[in-house]
Amino acid sequence: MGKRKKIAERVTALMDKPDKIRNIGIVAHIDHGKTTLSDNLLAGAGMISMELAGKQLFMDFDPLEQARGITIDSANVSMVHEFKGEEYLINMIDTPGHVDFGGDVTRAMRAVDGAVVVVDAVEGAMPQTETVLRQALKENVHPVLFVNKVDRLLNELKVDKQEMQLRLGKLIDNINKLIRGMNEEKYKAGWKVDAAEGSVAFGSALYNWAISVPQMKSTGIGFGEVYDYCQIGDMKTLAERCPLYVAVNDMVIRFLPSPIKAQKERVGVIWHGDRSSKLYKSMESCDPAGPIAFMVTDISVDPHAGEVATGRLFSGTLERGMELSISGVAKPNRVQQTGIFMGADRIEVEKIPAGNIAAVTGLRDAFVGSTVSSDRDATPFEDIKHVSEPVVTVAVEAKNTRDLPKLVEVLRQVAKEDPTLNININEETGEHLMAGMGELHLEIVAYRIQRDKGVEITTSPPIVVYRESIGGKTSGAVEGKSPNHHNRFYIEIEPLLPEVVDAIKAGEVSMKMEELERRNILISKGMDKEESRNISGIFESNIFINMTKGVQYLRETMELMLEGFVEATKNGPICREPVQGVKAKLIDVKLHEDAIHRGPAQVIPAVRQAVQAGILMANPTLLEPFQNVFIQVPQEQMGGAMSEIQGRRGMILSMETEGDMIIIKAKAPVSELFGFAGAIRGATEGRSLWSTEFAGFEPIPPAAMVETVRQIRGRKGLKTEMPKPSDYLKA
Amino acid sequence: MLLGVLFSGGKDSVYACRRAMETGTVSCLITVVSENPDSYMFHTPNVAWANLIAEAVGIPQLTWPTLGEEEEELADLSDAIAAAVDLYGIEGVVTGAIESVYQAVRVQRICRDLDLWCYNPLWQIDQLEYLRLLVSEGFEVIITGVFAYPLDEAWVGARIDSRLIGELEALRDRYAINPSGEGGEIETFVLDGPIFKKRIEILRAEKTYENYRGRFLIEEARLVDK
Ligand SMILES: Nc1nc2c(ncn2[C@@H]2O[C@H](COP(=O)(O)OP(=O)(O)OP(=O)(O)O)[C@@H](O)[C@H]2O)c(=O)[nH]1
Ligand SMILES: [Mg+2]
Repeated sequence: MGKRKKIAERVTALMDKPDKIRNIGIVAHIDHGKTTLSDNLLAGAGMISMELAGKQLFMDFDPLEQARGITIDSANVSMVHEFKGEEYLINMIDTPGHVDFGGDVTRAMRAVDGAVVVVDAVEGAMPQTETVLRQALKENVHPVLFVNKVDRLLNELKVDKQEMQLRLGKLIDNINKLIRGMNEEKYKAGWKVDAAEGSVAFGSALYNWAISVPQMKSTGIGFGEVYDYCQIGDMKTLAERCPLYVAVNDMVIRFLPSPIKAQKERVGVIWHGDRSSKLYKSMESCDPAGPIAFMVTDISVDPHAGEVATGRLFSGTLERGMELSISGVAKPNRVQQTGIFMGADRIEVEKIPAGNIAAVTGLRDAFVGSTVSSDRDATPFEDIKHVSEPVVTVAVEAKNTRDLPKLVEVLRQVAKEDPTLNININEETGEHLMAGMGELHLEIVAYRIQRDKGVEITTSPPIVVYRESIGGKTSGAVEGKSPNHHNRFYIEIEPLLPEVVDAIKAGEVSMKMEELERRNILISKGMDKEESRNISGIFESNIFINMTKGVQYLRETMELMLEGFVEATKNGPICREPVQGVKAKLIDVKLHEDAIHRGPAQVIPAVRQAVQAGILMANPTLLEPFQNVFIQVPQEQMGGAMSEIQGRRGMILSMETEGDMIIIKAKAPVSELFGFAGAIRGATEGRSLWSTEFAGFEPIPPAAMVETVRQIRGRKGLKTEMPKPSDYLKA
Repeated sequence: MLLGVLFSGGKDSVYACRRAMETGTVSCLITVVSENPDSYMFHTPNVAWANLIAEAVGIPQLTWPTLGEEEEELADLSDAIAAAVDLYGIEGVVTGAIESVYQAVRVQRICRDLDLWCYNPLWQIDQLEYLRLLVSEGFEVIITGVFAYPLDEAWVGARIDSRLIGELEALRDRYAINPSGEGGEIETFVLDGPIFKKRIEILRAEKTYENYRGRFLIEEARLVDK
């Protein structure tokens, strides 16, 4: 591996020159050509051969990705590009486009400062294009645009010169409309993409060429020339005269910010601690001599070195042997190796300074989202909130009984590697539940458990995940008694305002921000002032509020009360599905004066039961997940597509014509969409293009409540009738 | 020295009695019977059967009723101890307190007022070691009440042996449960032991359990020869 080593040396030489670094993500709707484009950049950096660029799909190194033709995991690579006589270090993350793996995109956006948004020239902006753009803006990640597959416009749609330019112009307008709609301020502050300036490039990743307005002068290739070369099918010359990587590098290096520039603006967006602290100042200035501030955005397993935590280093310099604190973990961890990724391979380097993407081993207790710091009391970074929630579940069982213990261990590990996966282990029955983003997600995880972890498993057909919530409130406080009856908790249960729930889900309010900031946001969302001031905990989209005053021993008991609240909201009282949108207000407490009489074994169950009973007294409802479904279909096949949607309790939201295609936007419950892929193919003779996206939870029809509860409870081995408040309070 | 042992029939009072017998002369067992099922001070279930243990160990028992309201029950306890001084001439009071400051402080205050020695032979003993000691010395102890998460129905009526002590140790580590039940998590009743001249046989009992509260209520029991 002489070549790799040499590249690694050049990479290391640039690592401590942050103005020469670009941390970028390649993002797009599925199949728009991210990985193909990545190949071009790798070839430009001399890491793969030019001949194979566009076909090797270097970043799709898992055979499963190659076999299925889609990216499943984000992959990182560090490479060196020469631009105008200077060397630049580009740390690039190629992300997956399929919605089921969208969590990878969300996480990658935390690690990078800039994004190359790839859009298929024929398909234009698609639902995931919108989603990835939104994620980028939310993380204060700067976008540039690459319009890909321009060859298709000519070869497949046979457009003429004028129509080509028109279409491309319209595409850019659409992207700018999206940016403007998402964040007017940023749009005005220069975040729009602009072809004349050069923050847009056009090309064909498959055929390795691209142009941008500033590049036209030096290459002598403009739209007219492109058109002519495509007409005669001479892509080779185009690739020689205007190689893709040159146009894209120009865009990346000129328009995407260096960590020095980016961190100044970004840190305040993703970190809400004290701005006068040393840590903040050091992150803001990307100081390699400051305290360590490292945010883990990915955990993977190396067969030799064990768990590798990859993420963004905002401050300090990482080196082997360092003792670092992990947010929420008492004991420090010791850094074993520090390295960078080159696709599948990890290359060890001696140290990694601030502003880079680092791969670290030895951080055993780190999870995706952990903040790692040399400062024990460092305020952690904001959580990385993914827009979708796990909505589909399968039951997993070991085929061979001897694998039972191993399966539990393996499931814990996969949950650590994939934070969008929700694992529920039941050691008693041996039937574990695995919830994920969709059927494909779970299929891939199940396959990898067998292939990579060597445990044979069987999985049940998929079912959806529900949410429990409330439509009303308790009349007065519910009394929760500790098992020893020496502690009593008086709790009122009420629904949270939808605006508050949305703000929590979007990560706009959290317990990590300063109290005052949190209070003001909550008040602006309509929450009562007094309540906003007394927030004790936020879990998923539920809030625990302490309305008591001057109660003795309350402080030391609060943590246990919150544990009880968390347990109640993780396993709701209706059928043990997660709870959302619930506000629990602690009105009064009676605590035993002797600490040993109010330990976890007393406080946790008392609070949990009061909350569970309270939910059942507050007009409980069951919510089911919905998805938006986007279908592009020729006029003739429209009828088939419509009846597929309508037969699945679906609702048509809009229908638009574009040329001879109809674009249908609809919404349907996830439970009805199982098997949709096959059905829509049949109904439209395989001529539809479709995609889905998470659309939140909505109440199930009231008439279906009793039966649905019965089914869910039965499946979980619980007694099937709907529980009553007294079931949780009896004692 | 003549001693009176605060006596419920649970393991702590029985074992405190054994220790007291090594230090002085136990001239009576003082049992306060509370009418409040959630008494802060006095362990209630099965206390009605404490007389069988008194008979088995051959020490007279003085029973005293209380309504069991929070601080009033202390006045009743004080009265009971004063009566023991009158009737049996005790000079000291023995309790089975291990860690409960709440109980210990209150008894101590009463003793000070009555000018009596307050003896807590189990104070701050290592709880797991203590349980092992009970088993190795031949005490037969059953669990007559559980009041803590996550203790389930299987605990109700179970005998304390080394396997169960192991489980308690795990629960201590995970849920901060006091292995000897000092936080009101567990109540017990002693059926036999080295100081017993006869042992107790339970003929009939009822189990109840709901939401981490379970009881083993003795309905019929008798003394049998060993
Ligand atoms: N005609 C044409 N096809 C292209 C071009 N770029 C990519 N493709 C093809 O589009 C398909 C998808 O390309 P990928 O690079 O895997 O797309 P991706 O965006 O990485 O896909 P996911 O990661 O699964 O979302 C492949 O068949 C490519 O060969 C292009 O410029 N022109
Ligand atoms: Mg890809």
